[in-house]
Amino acid sequence: MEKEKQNISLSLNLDDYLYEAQNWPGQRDDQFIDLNYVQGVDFSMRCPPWQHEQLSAYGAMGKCGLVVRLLTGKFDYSYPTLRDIAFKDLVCGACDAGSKRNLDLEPLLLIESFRARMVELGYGPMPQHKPVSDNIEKTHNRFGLAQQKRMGWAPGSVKIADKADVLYFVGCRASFIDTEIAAATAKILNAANVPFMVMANEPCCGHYLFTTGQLAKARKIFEDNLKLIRESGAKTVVFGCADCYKTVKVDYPKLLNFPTFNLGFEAKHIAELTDQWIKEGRLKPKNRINMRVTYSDPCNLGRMSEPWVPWEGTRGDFGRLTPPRLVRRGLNGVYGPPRDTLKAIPGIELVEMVRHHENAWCCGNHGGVREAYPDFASWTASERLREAATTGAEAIVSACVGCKEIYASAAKNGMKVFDITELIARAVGK
Amino acid sequence: MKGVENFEFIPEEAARALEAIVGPDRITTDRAYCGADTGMGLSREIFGWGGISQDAACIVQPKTTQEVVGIVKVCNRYNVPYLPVVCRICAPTNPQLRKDIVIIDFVWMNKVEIDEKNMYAIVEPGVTLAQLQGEILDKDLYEYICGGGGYASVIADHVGYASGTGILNYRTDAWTTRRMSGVEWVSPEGELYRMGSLVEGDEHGYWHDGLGPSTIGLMKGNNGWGGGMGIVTRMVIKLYPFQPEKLVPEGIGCDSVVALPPRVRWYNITFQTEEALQKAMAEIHEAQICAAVNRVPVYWREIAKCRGDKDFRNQFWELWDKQTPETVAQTHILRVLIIGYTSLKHLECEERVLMDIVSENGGTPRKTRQGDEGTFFNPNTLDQWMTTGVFGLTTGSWESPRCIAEHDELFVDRLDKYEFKHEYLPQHREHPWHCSWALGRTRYTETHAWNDGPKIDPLDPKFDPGAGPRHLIAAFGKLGVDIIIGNGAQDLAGVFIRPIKLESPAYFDFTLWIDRFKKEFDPKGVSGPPFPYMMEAILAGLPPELQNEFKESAARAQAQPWKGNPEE
Repeated sequence: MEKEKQNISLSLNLDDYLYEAQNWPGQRDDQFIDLNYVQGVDFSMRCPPWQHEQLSAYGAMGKCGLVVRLLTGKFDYSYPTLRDIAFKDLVCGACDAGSKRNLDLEPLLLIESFRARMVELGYGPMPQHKPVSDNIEKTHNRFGLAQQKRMGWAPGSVKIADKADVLYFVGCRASFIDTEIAAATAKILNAANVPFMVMANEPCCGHYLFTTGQLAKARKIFEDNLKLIRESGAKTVVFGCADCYKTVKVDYPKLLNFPTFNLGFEAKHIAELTDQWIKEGRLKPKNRINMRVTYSDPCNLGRMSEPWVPWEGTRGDFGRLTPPRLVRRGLNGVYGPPRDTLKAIPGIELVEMVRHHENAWCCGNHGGVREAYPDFASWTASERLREAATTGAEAIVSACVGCKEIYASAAKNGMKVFDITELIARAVGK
Repeated sequence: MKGVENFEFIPEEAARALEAIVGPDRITTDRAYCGADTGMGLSREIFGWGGISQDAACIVQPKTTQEVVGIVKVCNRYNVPYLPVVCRICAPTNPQLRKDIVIIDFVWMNKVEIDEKNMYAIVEPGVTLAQLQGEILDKDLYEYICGGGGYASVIADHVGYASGTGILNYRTDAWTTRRMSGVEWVSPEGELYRMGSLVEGDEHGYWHDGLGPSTIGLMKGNNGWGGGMGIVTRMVIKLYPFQPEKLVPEGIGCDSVVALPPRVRWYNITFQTEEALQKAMAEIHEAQICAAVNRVPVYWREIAKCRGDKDFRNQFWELWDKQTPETVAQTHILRVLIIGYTSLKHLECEERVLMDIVSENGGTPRKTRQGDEGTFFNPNTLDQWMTTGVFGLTTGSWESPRCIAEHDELFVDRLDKYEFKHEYLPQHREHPWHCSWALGRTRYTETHAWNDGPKIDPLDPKFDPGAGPRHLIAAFGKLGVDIIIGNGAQDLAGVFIRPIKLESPAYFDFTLWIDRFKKEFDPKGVSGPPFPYMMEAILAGLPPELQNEFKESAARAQAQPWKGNPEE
């Protein structure tokens, strides 16, 4: 007797994930790092909200249990604790990469859809998300600052073309707050003799709206931005911020339902390009930086950055899918290029933390948690810094503006914090 | 208390008394927290969605043994049942059949002390097997990882003999209960006992039982007590000497492996017949070589081929659909691990002996990738099942080599007899996985009948909440009884027919002891109910015709003479 086939798609509709929610086999892939990498009790967990709260509800497996209850009418979305469970989550994809080591489940899509459903029904986002969301809508940047000040990051020494094949998408934080990262990125592009343009009125990428479940607002921004970027004529869009990078490369296609290869341009993180240029001899890191560093993989550059591939089909006996689909397991994230770039800098000694590559611990500055749960965000960053300290590194290096910001605010005991662009710019500078 | 307070299922006074012990941050009665925490893993699939499992009334998270004592005493005072949990994977230790259960969650109790010189570890219940392995491998020591996964609690795994097994037990004693040298035990009524090495109070684990009678036997029981006999809050376990070269993990996600040093090597060998494979296994055991010896079924090999970013299920089924009874009958795979514990020459010597045995039995060594995905840290059986999109109905046995070989044959016969066709993976009469323990003196077989999980769909209008458990119990019961009748093997499916109490010196007499211990130590029945009577409770909910079928099976089994060979 053949089971009746279910029509399903990879969507942001929670109803599509009952099967996912029901069929987690019980292994704690959402909580532990790949067990082959476990070195003991300490640093063996991958899920910050679960480790902070120590309750299953805050991990993906527990959420699966709740989602089954919600979708089968045994629990109501209005239950007070549910909002906390939905939004005290970094949406960092750790559970997704963990479960996909052996399975074809989609916990990240389930969590994103759960948030979206909560927002749809009026139980989200959190009140603390509203000011940021309003800023994005009103001023096109998350800080509510005047867009005219967006180019304030650019030092006079940097050459920016009016028209070029390469567009540098700076991002809100690097434009207004962590401007040293934008300046460093521009210097690297100049050093590699790559003409690039920027959008003087660059809008927010919409990452914050998407990740806090505000899909209707995000959709509008995604559509507008896509049009703007395509109209710029850029063949390659370069990002220094991993959040912007993943949003444009993955979430635009995901929400608007097309494959990443149909973006109309190539989305590249600066670390991918520096690695390529160094290997080609186009960029020469000649200045010595004597430092022992450890690299913290940004979630959005590593496990979550694989291209989006839409899928629609049916599920039949034994859960078999027709047609077969590709599963974004985090295998093809950007892990090697930043490491190879750092190793190419004379004097840099790169050491790994226990949790690296797809097992990396999130920085804590993600998913709207920094605003809604600042203590939890700081704790998450402190845990990463504690891990970094055990390697004997003098500095923690990341490749995301958000990571640098939160590490810098949580760093103690002399641990230095750098964005990778800062070290590269120093190494290639005159 | 964390979240929304709810005293519908637990008296408020009891909850407040528990809160007074652990403080407000480590207790909750919130329905969302309790719901998300309950019935995970196999239990959720089989019992939870089957409508049997209830959510906990309360979750409490102690940090010390003293807090555990306090919690257990409060539960006794208010007659509130409690269930100790750690990993929540194992089906028998998770589902709750009552709405008033307090989950005692050991997430905060995860200390490990290692004595390198005397080769033992003292662990708390929150420590998992993979964590312990990670702590000790750098010290040139190792432990086993059970087939259920490195996520399992060391203590929970050691107090359940059927769960505490892994292929690295080949050179050690697979009876985990024999490998514990001491326990700190909070009895069902909240009395604190120290047994074995810990009885001395000087915190060393070298002496095992020390003076006086062995009290560690209290920890034993078919499949463990499942939380039905109090709580072990600390345990001393033996560790074993490993070779000194490092196991270095490499690769991402499904491609991650532990790269093996020269002194650790896998060998895949194929034989032309099952008889030749079995004979080679026996000769390996006689020669007392190797570190693990496994008969690997074809479907394992096909699962291992599923890699990369294509969906695993289609990868697996594309491979499995090509298998036929003929191709399976022609494939006999032996997978052997050799470790040069003392030197590379040690490995080379054992390798030469192995190759002689292989050659004499017509075997062919195959090219073998020298990386390990699961043996040392992460066997992960549950995920393996789900890679194929099926639920595994697993049973198994732990007996003499002769008994195991017959058990396997009986099992494939019964799969045919009971026509497990439609919702089961076609097995093509393949013999299951089995491995050797104690240098081949005993063997373990684990058999799988793989049914199609998605049929248990609560949104399906035809969904019957009891169908899943009934199906499972019926399948296990029939298979288990037949195997007992067939060759006397103590099949793990026996847990499903335990309610019928096969009481005689030849059968599961230990049920009498379990009854006596339970009555003596837990007169109120508050420790992990319905354990050890889980199956009785489920059976009582079955339709009368199925209950009768079990009774008849029991009568048939009991009427048979003992088929085992005591001399083995």
